[in-house]
Amino acid sequence: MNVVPIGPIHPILKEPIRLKLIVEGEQVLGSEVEMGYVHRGIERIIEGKHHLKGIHLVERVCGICSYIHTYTFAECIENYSKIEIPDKAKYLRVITCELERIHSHLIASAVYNFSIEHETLGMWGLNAREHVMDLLEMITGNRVNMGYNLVGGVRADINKEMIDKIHNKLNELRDDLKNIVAAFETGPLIGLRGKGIGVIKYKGIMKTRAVGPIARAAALPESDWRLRHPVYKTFKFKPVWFENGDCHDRMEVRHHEVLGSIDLIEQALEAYNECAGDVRVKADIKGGEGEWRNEAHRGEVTYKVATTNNGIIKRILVRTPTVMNIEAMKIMFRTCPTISDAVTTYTSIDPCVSCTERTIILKDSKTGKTSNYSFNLI
Amino acid sequence: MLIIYMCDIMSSTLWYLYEFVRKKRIISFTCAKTDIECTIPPKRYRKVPVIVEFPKKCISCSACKGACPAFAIELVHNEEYNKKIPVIDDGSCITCALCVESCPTGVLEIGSVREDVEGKDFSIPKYTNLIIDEELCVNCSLCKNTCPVEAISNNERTHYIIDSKCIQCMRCIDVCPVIDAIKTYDEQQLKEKIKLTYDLKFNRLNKINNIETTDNINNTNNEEMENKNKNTEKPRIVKSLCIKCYNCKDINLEGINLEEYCINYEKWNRKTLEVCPTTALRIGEVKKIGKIKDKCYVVDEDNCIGCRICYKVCEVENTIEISSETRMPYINPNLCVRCSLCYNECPVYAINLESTENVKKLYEHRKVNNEFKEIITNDLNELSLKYINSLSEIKKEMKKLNDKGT
Repeated sequence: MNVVPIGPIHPILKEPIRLKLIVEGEQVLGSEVEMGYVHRGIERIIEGKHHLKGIHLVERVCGICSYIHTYTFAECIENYSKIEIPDKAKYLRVITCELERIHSHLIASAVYNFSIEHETLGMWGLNAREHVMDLLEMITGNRVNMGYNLVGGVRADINKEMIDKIHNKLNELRDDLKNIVAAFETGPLIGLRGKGIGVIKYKGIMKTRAVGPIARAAALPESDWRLRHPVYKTFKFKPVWFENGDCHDRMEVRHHEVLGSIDLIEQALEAYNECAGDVRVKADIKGGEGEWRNEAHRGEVTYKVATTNNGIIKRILVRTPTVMNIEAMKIMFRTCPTISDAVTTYTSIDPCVSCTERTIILKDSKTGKTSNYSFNLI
Repeated sequence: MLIIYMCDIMSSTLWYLYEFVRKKRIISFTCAKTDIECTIPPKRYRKVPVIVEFPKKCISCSACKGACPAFAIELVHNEEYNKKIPVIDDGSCITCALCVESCPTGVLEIGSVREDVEGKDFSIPKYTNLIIDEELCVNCSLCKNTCPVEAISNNERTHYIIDSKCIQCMRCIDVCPVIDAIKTYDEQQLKEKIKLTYDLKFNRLNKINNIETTDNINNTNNEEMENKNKNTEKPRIVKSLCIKCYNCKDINLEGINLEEYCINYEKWNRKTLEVCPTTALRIGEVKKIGKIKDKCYVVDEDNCIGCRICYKVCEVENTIEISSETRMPYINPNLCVRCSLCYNECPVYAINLESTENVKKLYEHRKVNNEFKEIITNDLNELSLKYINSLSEIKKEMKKLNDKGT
């Protein structure tokens, strides 16, 4: 048995993480994951700050899915302090969130295609993504760290020109995507590199609590938290799911979800056209604590926040989806015949390392006991 | 073979030449232009950094400085405008536009945020938060009048700051006549208090240090017990100061009820006093002490009409008393906080500002006068009572004597 170390700095990795693959020849037998290279302690920095400053820090938890973090944070506080936000803001939030989902899934698919050495498809995906980024810039004012959400609504309204532009761009995107999906489904080499590799089934998912596209690719459509969200419930929406639970299916879930997101945006725009009024209400925050979950692009994201009377954050706890998905990756590695397949498996779960590095494990120097850093315990 | 090959090459090069040297292609190649739309950023695009667009309007309130989450703004004195004006560090700015929204006069601009959000509800983020102590507030409305954004309001008992409007300009603190009546707590302080709370809650202080400290803690516990016996005074919660951070409840779950602001004295823990960031948990009385010492208000008895409005209006206890001799009010300079409430309320301008030494002399004179008068009246009362009693006794005995005589 030999060990192949990958990382923390390596050309295939976008973010620092250390993978140790235990191999026999080319066959991958097991793996170890080491993290902690980009731990920033955002939760500790937020303590004692005003909620509007906190929302900009929370946005920087993740580089790609920045909006969903502000969305969950704002909804968590609104939920327990009983702030009713206007209808316009609800639909604008859905539109921005789904646009971000599209760009996140497209970048995931591009990275996967690069890792199986199919650069043409990867470039097609990135090309389609650029238009979505332009739409985000037009609506919110920035491309990645948007600063669009506030507790009590969103910052700015959209006008009719913007709505027309969104419709046009989405129609173009749908055509582009159908082309990409057809190429991905029918390409023989793509199928060879993806089908039956990195398999995880129901049993493994129950063991590791994997979420998001990974669970949905293994025939678990209920793992989509959008089904339980009060605003998404009003739309016609069905979660995408596949049966095999391999790398190919995980990417298929993402591709079909992008098409679903386009439909959702169009429904949200229709609903938005019927609303009137302002996009923001005054946030009158009461002291207390609460919890809220949302479907991020990689799975379920949980926020637990405690605030004082005038909205100063006392305590915050974040759990991101990649925490569970990286654990599931260890099971997937068992069905990787070569080391390069292990790399594609790693990219197929769309890991976000800086997102994941939230947990602190505390070690008692006296007794040697370890315990997790949690909301109520230490 | 070679000839065929040559012909092939010739034909293909001819085709390529024919294809590329079309008029259309040459024109498009020579007159190539990028679309103008690509070079112009969209209207809402927020470009780093924030611009100081109308420096004339600036009131140097430092709201932008307090709102910035990245500490990118500093107020620097500008000689051209002769006031402090925000200077933004390009490298630190994160384009969150919180400063643009919190500016009360609309000085700053980024993208089109100022136009987009004009007139919308916004709770201003701050580094330093202000809070008024209701036990020290004298209800003089000086802070309310100086506040540039109308963030201070009042009810019958006290003034209070509306937190979502306050811009931490600290002008109310400068104006307030009473020392420490407006309290501040900033991010750093809160962070330390929260950390201390969790250290106490999970006994982390004992764990980190060695066994020696545990002995110390036992000793301190004993000392605390002694202190408890000495201090029989009971703690209370000041309603207006409590921000419901639940720090005290984290340590002492059963002892404190924050919904009804009451304390269970049997289970109350003394450590909760250290943890409170705004000193809302309190033992003993607090004194209202004025900032101004060299001057004091005094009642001019020649002009006073005895309406006693000043007596009713004054919020500091026992400061204005009414002399029994002249039936006019006089002010105690040792207790007066110089809040100017009586001065403003007086209908005949009978209250003036004079140096404290003179006022003290006048006060002592009036007080002694008053006391003498009281002593004399009391004595007279007693004497008259005695006189009446003795008179009635004499009359009774006279009657008895008369009866015997008859």
